[in-house]
Amino acid sequence: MKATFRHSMSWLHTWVGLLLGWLLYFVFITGTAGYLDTEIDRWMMPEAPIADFSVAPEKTLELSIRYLEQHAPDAQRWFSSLPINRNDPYPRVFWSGAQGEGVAARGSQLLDPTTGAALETRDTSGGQTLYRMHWRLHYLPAEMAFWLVGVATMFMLIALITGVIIHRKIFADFFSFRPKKGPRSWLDAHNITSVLSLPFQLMITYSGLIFMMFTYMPLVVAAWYGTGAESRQQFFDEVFSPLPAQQASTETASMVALEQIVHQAQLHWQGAALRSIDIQHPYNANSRIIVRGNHASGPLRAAGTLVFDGVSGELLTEQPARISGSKTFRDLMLGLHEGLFAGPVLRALYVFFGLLGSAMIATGLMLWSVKRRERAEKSRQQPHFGLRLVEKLNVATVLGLPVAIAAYFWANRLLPLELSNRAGWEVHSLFLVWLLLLIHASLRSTRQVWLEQSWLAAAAFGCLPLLNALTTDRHLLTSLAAGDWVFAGFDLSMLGLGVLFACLAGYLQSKAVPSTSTASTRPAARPSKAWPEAK
Amino acid sequence: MSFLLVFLLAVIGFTGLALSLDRHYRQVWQSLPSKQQRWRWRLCGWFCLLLSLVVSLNRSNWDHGLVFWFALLTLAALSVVLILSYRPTLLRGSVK
Repeated sequence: MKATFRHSMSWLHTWVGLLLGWLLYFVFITGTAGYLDTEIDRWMMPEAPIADFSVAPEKTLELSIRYLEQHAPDAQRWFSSLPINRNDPYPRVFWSGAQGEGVAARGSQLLDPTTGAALETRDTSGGQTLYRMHWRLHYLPAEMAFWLVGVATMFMLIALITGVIIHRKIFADFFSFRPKKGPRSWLDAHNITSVLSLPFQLMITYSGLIFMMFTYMPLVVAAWYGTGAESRQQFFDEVFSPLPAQQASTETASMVALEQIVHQAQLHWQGAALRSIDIQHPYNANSRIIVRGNHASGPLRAAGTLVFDGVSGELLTEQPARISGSKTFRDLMLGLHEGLFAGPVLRALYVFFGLLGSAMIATGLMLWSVKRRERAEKSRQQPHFGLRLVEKLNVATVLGLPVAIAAYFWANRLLPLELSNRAGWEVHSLFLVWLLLLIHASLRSTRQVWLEQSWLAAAAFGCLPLLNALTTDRHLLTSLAAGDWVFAGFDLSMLGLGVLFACLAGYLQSKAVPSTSTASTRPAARPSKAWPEAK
Repeated sequence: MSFLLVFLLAVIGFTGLALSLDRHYRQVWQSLPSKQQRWRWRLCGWFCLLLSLVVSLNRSNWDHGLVFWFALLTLAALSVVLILSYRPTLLRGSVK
């Protein structure tokens, strides 16, 4: 055990940070991409039209029901979500328990907003898979991924708290960044990125744990409801659904006109937007229609729910957005984490803070290796294997992951459209490229890897708009001319990332060939430094 | 446009707090602040930060405003850090 409290906290911070840093970096980068999930979806489905939020809900509903009647007859449940903001750009239908020849029992489909036909797009994993990776870790079994991410998140929270404790001069150093001073600069960068964005980092980490609180802390529910799956379900029903599920009757019945339901709901909520219509047992005597309001109107991720009788159209019950203090607190945490309510400016800030969080983790990882590299060189020892391993893993994660994500976008444009499991191969491309970059990192010197992978990242992101222009008919100029800001925004962001990585590469290159002036200020006894070192 | 005002107030607020610290005062004026100056900057800093909070809450959806305030606070503090690190003398002209 270390001598003082601050020492032991410092030890904890250093080693926990190192051990889980790479996983947390992955979570932060893919989670940040998640703030632009539907925008990425859009770019990866170039066949889809510009989203149109001006279609009346009655019209969208009519198209949705027509689709469901054709493709999901005799279903137990029809669900239609309405495009009201960037969170759901297109009408979407979902169904379960459908019967009939050649009919999928359950399914989900995006619809064309004007024709109501299935939206014909390429088979893609889209922004959704990229976003889900940050807690699903893609290849792992769900339960295992939840626990891994949960443990990492818990330690992230510990790292944040111990970080504040071990920061010696948190107020005096609040505004201090001293560039070009070796490990000092890395420590400053680590401190600045974490301290200044601490409100965001604490919120995102704590709320991340709240997301899966029923997985991590099942005993709280079990203590009151029992441990079986049924008792768990009873708890969820009580908290999250306004009325217990109704069994289907043997009698069929006609369905109430949906315009009437929409009208009633709008009247009830004084014209606020409706997000979804959920029809249980359509055309059955026990049919129910559940209407949900917009849960993205504010940081509190909750909306009112109205339950109607599906035959008579009578309002059966209402569940307001806030039903209890503890649920409201949870909704607030989830809402702040997902940022569904954020408009363009706040969304850009969310992305920026996600990147700051990633930078906080990356600078922490760098600090670990830079300090030890300096120590090893001062004592003229061969760098330890562990140090070299960390250096390789650092570069292959910090630069390798962004390149791998670029590869995911390249795969979307380059894989043949008729390839079976095309969406799956997009994701495989991401991880294959990442693996290749890890191998590349293990074969070359660390300084070369930093240089080569940043040029690669610059090219991979910078050329994406060109690739898009060559493989689709929506190049940047047509998107700009058509006022298609989502598409143009993606292309421009990729160009921006390309330029950023090119700047990094240029900077590294200039350091790799030290000019005479910098060489004179540098002690001659320290010739061969791995890149992240100061003059 | 109110977020621009909130941001500017926060930048001024953090500049004030930074200038109440010897290290940053010296970066800008190559001298040390007197005790009185230190307190004046600190007071000005906190006042502007408070004012930025009031401005961001003063709208119909105050909950959005509060989230915005936290976000812009970080952005403003970062801007002050970058100015102090690379162009500290910039503050001499604009603040006084």
